[in-house]
Amino acid sequence: MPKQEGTTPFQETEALYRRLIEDWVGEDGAVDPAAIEVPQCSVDRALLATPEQALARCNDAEVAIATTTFGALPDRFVAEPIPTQPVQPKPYELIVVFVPEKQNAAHSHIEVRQEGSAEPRKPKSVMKQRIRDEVAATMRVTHRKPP
Amino acid sequence: MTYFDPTCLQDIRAAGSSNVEYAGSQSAAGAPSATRAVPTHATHSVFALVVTKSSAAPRNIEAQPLQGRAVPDPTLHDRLRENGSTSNEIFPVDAVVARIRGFAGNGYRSSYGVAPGEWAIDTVTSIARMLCNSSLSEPRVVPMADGGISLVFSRAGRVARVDVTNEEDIVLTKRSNTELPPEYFEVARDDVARLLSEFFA
Repeated sequence: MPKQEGTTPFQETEALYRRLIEDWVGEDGAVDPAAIEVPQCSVDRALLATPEQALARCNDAEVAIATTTFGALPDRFVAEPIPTQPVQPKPYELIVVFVPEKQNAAHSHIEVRQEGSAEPRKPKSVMKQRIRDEVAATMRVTHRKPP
Repeated sequence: MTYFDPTCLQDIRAAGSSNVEYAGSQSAAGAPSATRAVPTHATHSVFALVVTKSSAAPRNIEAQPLQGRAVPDPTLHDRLRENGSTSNEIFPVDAVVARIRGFAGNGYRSSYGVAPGEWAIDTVTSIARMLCNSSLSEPRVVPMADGGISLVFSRAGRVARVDVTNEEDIVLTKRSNTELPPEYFEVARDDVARLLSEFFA
């Protein structure tokens, strides 16, 4: 389970919603890793939004909502050790941060940070893709706009 | 009169070429009995028409090596088919390129993130052109939410993903089996075709 920040705690079972364009809707309800932004991925939290409300925020190209839960997200990513380097890179962590906006009270971020840092940080390419894959794997397409 | 066999056109279209050069000729005595299109180079959409004479036709019409082009390799198409490919798996690169370029600027329409940048668009286009005459099937083209474009190839349960980012990285992800974790590699543009061929061989 990831760490969290913000005034209103996330419960382990709280759902998080992300809007998808058609290209990110995979087979059998899977979500394409390209849908995941690193180091900050916007989602709507279920405490303050229903999936229908999240779907209503879709622009005309966005067609579906993917759902994950706070507790399903991975928490930590350790890079492969580099034998030639005496100091190994710090692991990356996922932090879910509640950042309400004027137009969207449910707005939150899934952030990627290097361990011990308070700021989001974009990892190097291979780690970034691994994080995208693992976050997308926790998501399923749960709601679609009517045809 | 220039003779053009419809079967040949089908071969060319199946092979995804929009850059067809007809190196045939004219015949006063009759149509050639057989024509076929063969790719002359694995990474370019250049074709020669190989035309053989019929018993009724007194003249032999042959393709000449195209000036400044690769020498035709009449066995390439056959070799691709022997590797499990069908002509349908040689993808229409111009359609793929149009789709890639369609995601530039306002063509990227998600409310999240940014459109693919010029480097990513040009690099993915170049990779698609390098692969179009390989035995790979047409890839899915997917814009990335944080900038970049992915090409996703799949065959017989294997999936390879080439992610080209706005940060000018190229990452190849190979997944042979859903039960096993994927493998990730940072790769150079010119290595992508070879690595994919090895993976799908």
